[in-house]
Amino acid sequence: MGIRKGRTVQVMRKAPGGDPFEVRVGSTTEIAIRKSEAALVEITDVSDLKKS
Amino acid sequence: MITAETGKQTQSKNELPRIVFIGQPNTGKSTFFNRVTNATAGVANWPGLTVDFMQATVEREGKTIEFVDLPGIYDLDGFTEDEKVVQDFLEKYSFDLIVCVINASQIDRQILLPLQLKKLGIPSLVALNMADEVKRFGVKINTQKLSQYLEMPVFSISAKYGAGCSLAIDGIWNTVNEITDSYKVAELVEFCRQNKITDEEIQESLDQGIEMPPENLVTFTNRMDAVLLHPIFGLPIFFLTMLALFLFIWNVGMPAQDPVGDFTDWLQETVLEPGLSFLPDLVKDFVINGPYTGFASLLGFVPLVAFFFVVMTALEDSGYLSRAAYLMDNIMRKAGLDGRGFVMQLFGFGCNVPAIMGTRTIRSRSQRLLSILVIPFALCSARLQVFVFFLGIILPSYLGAVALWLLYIISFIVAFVMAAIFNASGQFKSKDPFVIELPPYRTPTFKQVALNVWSEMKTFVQKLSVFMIIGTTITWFLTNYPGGTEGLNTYAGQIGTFFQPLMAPLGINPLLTVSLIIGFVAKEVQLAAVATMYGLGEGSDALKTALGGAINFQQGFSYCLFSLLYVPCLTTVATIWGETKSTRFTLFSVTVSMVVAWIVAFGFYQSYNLIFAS
Repeated sequence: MGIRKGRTVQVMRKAPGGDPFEVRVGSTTEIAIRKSEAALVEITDVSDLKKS
Repeated sequence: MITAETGKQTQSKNELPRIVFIGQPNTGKSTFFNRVTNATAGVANWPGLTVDFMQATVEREGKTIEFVDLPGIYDLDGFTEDEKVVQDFLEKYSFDLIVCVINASQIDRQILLPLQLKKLGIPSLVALNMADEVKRFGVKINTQKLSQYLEMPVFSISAKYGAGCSLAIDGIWNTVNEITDSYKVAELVEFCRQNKITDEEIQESLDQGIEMPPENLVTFTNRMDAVLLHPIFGLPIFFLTMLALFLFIWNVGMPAQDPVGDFTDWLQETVLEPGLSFLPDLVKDFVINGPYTGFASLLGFVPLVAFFFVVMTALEDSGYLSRAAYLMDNIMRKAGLDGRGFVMQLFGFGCNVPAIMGTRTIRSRSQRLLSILVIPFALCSARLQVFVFFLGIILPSYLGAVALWLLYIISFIVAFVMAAIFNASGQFKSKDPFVIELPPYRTPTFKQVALNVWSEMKTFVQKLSVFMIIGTTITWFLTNYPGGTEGLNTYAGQIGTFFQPLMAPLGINPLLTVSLIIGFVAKEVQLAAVATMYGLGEGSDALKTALGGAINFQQGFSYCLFSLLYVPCLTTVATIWGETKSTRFTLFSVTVSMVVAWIVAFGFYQSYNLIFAS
């Protein structure tokens, strides 16, 4: 689904009940992914993106 | 033979050059395929492969080419069911050219497939689709540079609106003309796994004049989603949308069935009956009440099913269906169902047939089968007639409405519980991870929706006619033989009597049992059968009085419960068979519904008698 090393992922919002997540991968791809599968994605924080 | 650098195997030239379309799901691949083949494609079955694809042969300037549209895939060496199908195809069947369709606005991830094709060394052509969205997102692609890098022709198109398509189609034909060999990739998966595309390679390809927009881009879709996918308001909005669609289908789609019914009646009265008058009565009766009735009732479904398809296609194309899956996932997951299964279950309340066909939007086969298994429990409009009639007799007061409402609730609960049970059994566990793309909102085009509905209706009638005709022929035989008999003396009556030990504990008498057997064909016929069995006019007051005297409340309601849960109609069974291509699964589904119907009716009737009647 395009999640690979070096890409940014942003959690856009959560579905009713808090799961699944709506996640943006890169800039033009948006996906719904369950918490359990999202947990498999290794991330490092680049939070400066979220502010804007 | 696998050469060191490539995975391809050269084959003797195909008789007809074969062009194979691949691409990720939701890239508009099939839309482009329709443009290339002028929408002439039909469903084709390939030996050894579990899925049918669209296929077409197109002639142009004296040359004929075969086009095949393979299922959408993310990765040539992936593990999903669809990916296995594509791998099987490319390993078993030789081809001349691959057309890889890409949603160019997501080229940063979709470039993977072209890179894999390049590495395999197969003649390929890339169609960068959704040129309109590329512009809207502000993605920049230098097609020339990309083409040089990939060493294959690259065309920018908008399959939906047609921009660039004729150039791309010319490109396909020209490319094929230059190819002298046919290919196969005997060890495709093996090759791809040993020659993985690295992150660096992807980056390098993206450096060929591709610019992606900033990651904090806010689009129209994002603003829409802030409302439509709102954590609190998202679900109420979704339910209201569904209600609106439903009222629309109810008020516009349902009445559309009448003209077709009128037409088939007219055809029977003015053409068939006079035209067949030279035949003996028995043969005439057979033709009209056997095969013709089967065909006519199938035809009667067409307007409603078509209407559902319009709504469903529009819903899918708009991007809202994926969002419904996202919104409903938390609840549906507990029953092991895909969120899209919920929408189809809702549609099932109108008519089970299009709902079952609509499960195609569910990508995982096991999840899809689970949905197909529980959709027939949805109280469809045809069953509603049976309930309205019977509840009117056993509960003439406002309680009838309450009982009807109760039946709707029971319908939903049974579907949910059965799904949960089957899910717990582990048989329908999805092997594919739950990741759904949420595409930008798109306006469905009339042409696309119309094309889709037209081709669906064509296959619907073609595929199911035989099934319907056989079904009604058997029922005709059962209800008319042995010759000269009526009611309980016919084979159907005998079967009804035979099953009496099984049906008596449900409070269902032999006459009504026969109506249930006939109701297997369609719920419309079931009411007619009740009338025939009692020897009174359908819907007449005399029949109502007779029934009112013959059955009490608990027997009537038990009959309703059984009618609600057992096989809705032959068309549904035929659709299940057509969609799954599995006789075993179809039989399983029929058995499950019978067993569930029996258990629920038995439970109700016996406990009611125990509590109130003793």
